[in-house]
Amino acid sequence: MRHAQIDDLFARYREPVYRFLRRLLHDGAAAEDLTQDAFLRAMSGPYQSNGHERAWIFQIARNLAKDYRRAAGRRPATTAFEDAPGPGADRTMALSLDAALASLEEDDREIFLLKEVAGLSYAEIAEACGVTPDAVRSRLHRTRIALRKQLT
Amino acid sequence: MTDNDLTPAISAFVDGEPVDPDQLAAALEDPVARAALVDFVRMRAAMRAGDDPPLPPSLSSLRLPPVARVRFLQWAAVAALLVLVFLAGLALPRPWQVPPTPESDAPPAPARIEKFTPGIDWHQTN
Repeated sequence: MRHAQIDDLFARYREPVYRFLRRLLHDGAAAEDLTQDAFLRAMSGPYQSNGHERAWIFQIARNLAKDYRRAAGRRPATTAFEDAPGPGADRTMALSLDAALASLEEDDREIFLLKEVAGLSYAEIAEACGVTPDAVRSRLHRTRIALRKQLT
Repeated sequence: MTDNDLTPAISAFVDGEPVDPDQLAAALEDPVARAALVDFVRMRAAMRAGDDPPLPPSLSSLRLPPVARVRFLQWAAVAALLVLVFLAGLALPRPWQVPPTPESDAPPAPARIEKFTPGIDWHQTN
């Protein structure tokens, strides 16, 4: 992959990749490092500009996060919420949601964050996670219902 | 009641995915599905609210690839090794260089001997 392509990819997707990893790992420093690593790994990957690059870069980021967690042998923190919610946001709701997210299965949490934080489509999430779009649809719904039950 | 057959359509609608319009219309008529819609939107607002801080400065640009860094370290290691070999070479004894001895200061042995006879005019020319 050429430098110009990776620079373009980095400029477009560094922010959603970083935010996804930060929410997934609850570790800002690790998210920074893994964001860099994801794009550096993409440099040596079989990149094709066919409209699938967003799913592809998130697939790399997700795999790096899995490796990181496996190596560190850690589970995400249950209540660590690093940043103050923005204006108008319900902080209690944000904290409760964060804790509820930590209780989810790892794959469900990843799919939920890929949707809610990174803004990927069902087709992109399916590609990044190696499942079908229908599976993404049903798992997202199931996750929302589970979170809703925990929050009420 | 927090869930029924209509809430999946609400979930997909919230995500901007294609939904059956009739199913969506039915869901919006249903109070349980309507409540789910509001809660899903609240959840999304809460998720995004905690993610407002600016990107860290370390992500302003892509770092030097590790491959290039490793390559640089390899070259530096080779250069350091060469310097070490050179310095070790200077410290080693050199058998081809004979150290000066007191005997070597003596004049070499003569190959022939000229005898000077007294009485001969050495300045005479033919």
